[in-house]
Amino acid sequence: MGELGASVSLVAILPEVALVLGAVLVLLVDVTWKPDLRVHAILAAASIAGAAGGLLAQWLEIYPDTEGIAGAQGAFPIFAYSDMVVIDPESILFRAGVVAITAIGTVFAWRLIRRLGRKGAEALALVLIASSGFLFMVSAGHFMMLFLGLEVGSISLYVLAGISNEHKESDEAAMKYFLLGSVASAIFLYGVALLYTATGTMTYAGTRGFLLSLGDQIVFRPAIFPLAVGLILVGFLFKIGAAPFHAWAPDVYQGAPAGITGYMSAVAKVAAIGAILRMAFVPFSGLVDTWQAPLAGVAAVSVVVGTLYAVVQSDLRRILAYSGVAHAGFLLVGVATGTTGSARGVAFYVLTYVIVLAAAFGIVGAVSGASSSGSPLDAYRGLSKSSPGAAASLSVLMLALAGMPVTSGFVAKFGVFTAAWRGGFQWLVLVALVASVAAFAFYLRVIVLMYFEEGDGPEVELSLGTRISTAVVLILTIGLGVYPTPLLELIDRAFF
Amino acid sequence: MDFPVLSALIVTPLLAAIVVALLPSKRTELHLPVGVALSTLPLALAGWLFVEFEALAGFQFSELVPIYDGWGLSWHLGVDGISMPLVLLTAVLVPISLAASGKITDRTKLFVAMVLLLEAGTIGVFLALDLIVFFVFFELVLVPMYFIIGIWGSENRIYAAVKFFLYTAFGSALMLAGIIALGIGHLTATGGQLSFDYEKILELGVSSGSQMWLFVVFALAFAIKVPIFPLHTWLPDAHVQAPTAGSVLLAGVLLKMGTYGFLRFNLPLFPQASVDAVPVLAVLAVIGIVYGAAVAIVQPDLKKLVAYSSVSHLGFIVLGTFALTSQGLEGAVIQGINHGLSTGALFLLVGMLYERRHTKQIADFGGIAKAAPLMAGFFLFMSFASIGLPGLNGFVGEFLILIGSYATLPWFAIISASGVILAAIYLLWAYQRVFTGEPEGDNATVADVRGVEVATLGVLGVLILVLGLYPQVLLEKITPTTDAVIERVESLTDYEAPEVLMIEMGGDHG
Repeated sequence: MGELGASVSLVAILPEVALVLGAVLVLLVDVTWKPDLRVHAILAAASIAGAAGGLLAQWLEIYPDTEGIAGAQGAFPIFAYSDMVVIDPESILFRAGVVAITAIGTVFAWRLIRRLGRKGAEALALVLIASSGFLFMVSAGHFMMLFLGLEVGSISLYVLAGISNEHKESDEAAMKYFLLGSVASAIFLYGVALLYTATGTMTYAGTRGFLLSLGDQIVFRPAIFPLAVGLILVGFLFKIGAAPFHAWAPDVYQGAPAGITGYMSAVAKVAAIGAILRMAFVPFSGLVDTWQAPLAGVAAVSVVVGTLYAVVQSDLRRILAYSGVAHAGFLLVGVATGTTGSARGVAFYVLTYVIVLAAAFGIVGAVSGASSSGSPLDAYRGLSKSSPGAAASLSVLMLALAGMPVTSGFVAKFGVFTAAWRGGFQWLVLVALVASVAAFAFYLRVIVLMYFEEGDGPEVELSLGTRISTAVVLILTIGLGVYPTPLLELIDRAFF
Repeated sequence: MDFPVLSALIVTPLLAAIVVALLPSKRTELHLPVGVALSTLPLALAGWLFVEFEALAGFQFSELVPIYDGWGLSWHLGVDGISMPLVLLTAVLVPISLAASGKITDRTKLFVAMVLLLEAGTIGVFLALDLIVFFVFFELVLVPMYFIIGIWGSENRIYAAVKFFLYTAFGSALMLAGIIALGIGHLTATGGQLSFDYEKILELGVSSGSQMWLFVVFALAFAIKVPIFPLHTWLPDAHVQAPTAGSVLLAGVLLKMGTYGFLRFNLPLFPQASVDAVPVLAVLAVIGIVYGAAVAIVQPDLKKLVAYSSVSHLGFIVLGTFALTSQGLEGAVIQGINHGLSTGALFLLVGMLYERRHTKQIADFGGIAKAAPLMAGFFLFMSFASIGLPGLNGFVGEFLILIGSYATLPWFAIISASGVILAAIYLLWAYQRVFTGEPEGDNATVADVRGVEVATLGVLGVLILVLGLYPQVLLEKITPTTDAVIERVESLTDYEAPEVLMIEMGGDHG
């Protein structure tokens, strides 16, 4: 891609710049004036809006003129900083997911930020910095860039997990997250090093070219490739919480302050899946027979393990964590299939899933208190009478997570399953289908408690921002369940 | 473009549900009447549909709007002789069951909204001609019924609601695999176009190699819904625990989604597998008929008795379907309607008894007829309809089914005929124990049916009489479609339906 100087592009990093600037401003303003929290709210909102505007600018940049001569997607992707950052329709889509989660997550975290007092500004800045890292991650075109984005995001999340010192569990969660997350990063890095040893390049495009040039001749494909790809993928499977690399997730999501878990879980998932998809389709496309079967195995194990463990939990956040393991499995069904159709399915799935997840954790946070550790199911008994709005919203979100028709959850599962069936993974689809029925058991349990059981649920106060965010998520979830076409067509355009 | 009456049939209950949801929560006295009033809109549409429906095979009033080309997904609706009666039945039973729910006081708004949502989903199931749209409605129906049983049911409601949900969801998940396979089969056969359109897949046909497993997954989903022995165990729980409106709609229309599925999907899409599966389904149907009736006889609980009588009656419908004769199919369709009317009425009566005496145990009753003669009269009338007394609707359906199945499955028909006798035993014996004799204690002061109760039972009674005395009004619109189904099975397999000598009974093939 030519000289370093030649590929500098401000547009390519506009959203990151907006977020980092926002974070810096929040911190500076905080130490200088110690202002009211409302000032921070305005700064954060401006920063997130700036990031969204940056995305729009990127979209316009790669689609300058629909009539022009363009690539297969009708787009002119930006390869900036010697391929370090790749802006194409696909990465913009996932970036939009990250920015949306940042917005929703900040709203749901607001009560926690207020409660944290002076540390609130730090939490806010960490959220913005984490998001900037995840933005880099989904548009990385170079393994070092991927690693940097991953670490910027992950380290911010480790701190966020332990930001409240009201409960010991929160510290424990942060420590566990940090240690296991670092191990995962190290494993990933080791894989990257091996890959570099073998190929002499760290760009996605270079790796892809090298591997494709090897062709199918086994003799030219030493064991170092499967080893490197395996280590890289294991690192990422850790991050998305796929079984058997999921053990940290329930403890972390249960222990971290309720207000922030939604953001933590959702943003990491959308970014990691975005990065995995890109890796599968660009650098590792020549090794498809190496990673396809193991990934399918991990998908099956995740779906089964996540569902079975979720059934026996008595804490809603642990249930959501284990359901997240199962969802990671459903997503990997699509990744493992490795076709364009399945990639589209995964994109729709993860984008719709994470906003539901963030909103569900948001309501959980509202029910059990912003800085609480743990959300025992008993607190939901009779919630439909004490807080009908929260109960109804949580019910719809649960049904969406379960994949009930008329919610986006069904369309998502349907898309992935159809693509997987078509790609020859019928057995995997059957496993996933049976697991999705079994999963009704725990999703319905929440509804049973809220609606069918007698009891005095807590009076949940939802702030205006929370109400608006929840309403937006519900409208999107049901709207895309009834008429998914706009998002599906957008994704079709991004994944050719 | 013509007025999209079929979409309107699905949308009006939804809008009605939204209107009810927007009513002020405090004005509980408004929720039910507004719900009843609004539910007459789909009823009017369904009535118009019935009048305008022409006695022809093939789909009428079709609507086709593409939703998403990438999956070949479209909003495809249509109505034929199999679905039209069921739509009408749904539209009739919803206002009746709402009107019969005056005793519901807890979260009335949610209740009315759920019943209306249920109506939208059920009508959607009967009208959808895109397999995905069908599946969406098929699953959607579970949610309101789950809430109806779980919130407003009796003591064991949570167990019953969850069991109901998981049982049916399991069946439909496997069906979803079948639907996906059909869509991809279409893609392979046409060389690139994914489609879940029922008519397109029908035109293309399903290769004989994959018919059997597809038949099995579809049949499993529908067999759980019907329910066919031995998959029926969720039904007594759900029925007994559900509130009256829930039981009426469950028996009246939700179970018919299963029998409808067999007629709509299994026979036309997988004809060879259907012919091959006749022995299995016929055996299960007959077991269901006799077993359901036998269990009903010994039930101490009146509601459970009616619930098990459903298992028996639905067995007749399955037998008629897999008799694979015109008469059997006609009988299956019309028996579905009859069962909805008469069993619906019996559930209403059980509900009225429960409201007055707070018990469903037959032993607690006795001599009610003295205190409530009109109620006793209605119960006897509905029992006769359910038993299949000539002149009432039940006779028409069972007679057609027995005639139709005698031609192809004589021994099964003969054994099944005992189900009619057993029905007389359990219903009349129940009547005797509940209504005759000298009333004691509270039984002597039971209030008779009045007002709304008479109206709801009266409407059902009139429909039962009309269908009993002049079944042609419905049969003539059913027959072309059922004949077409049999013709399709004949044309695609070696099977030949025998000529059945018909007396002047079921329309125009005598």
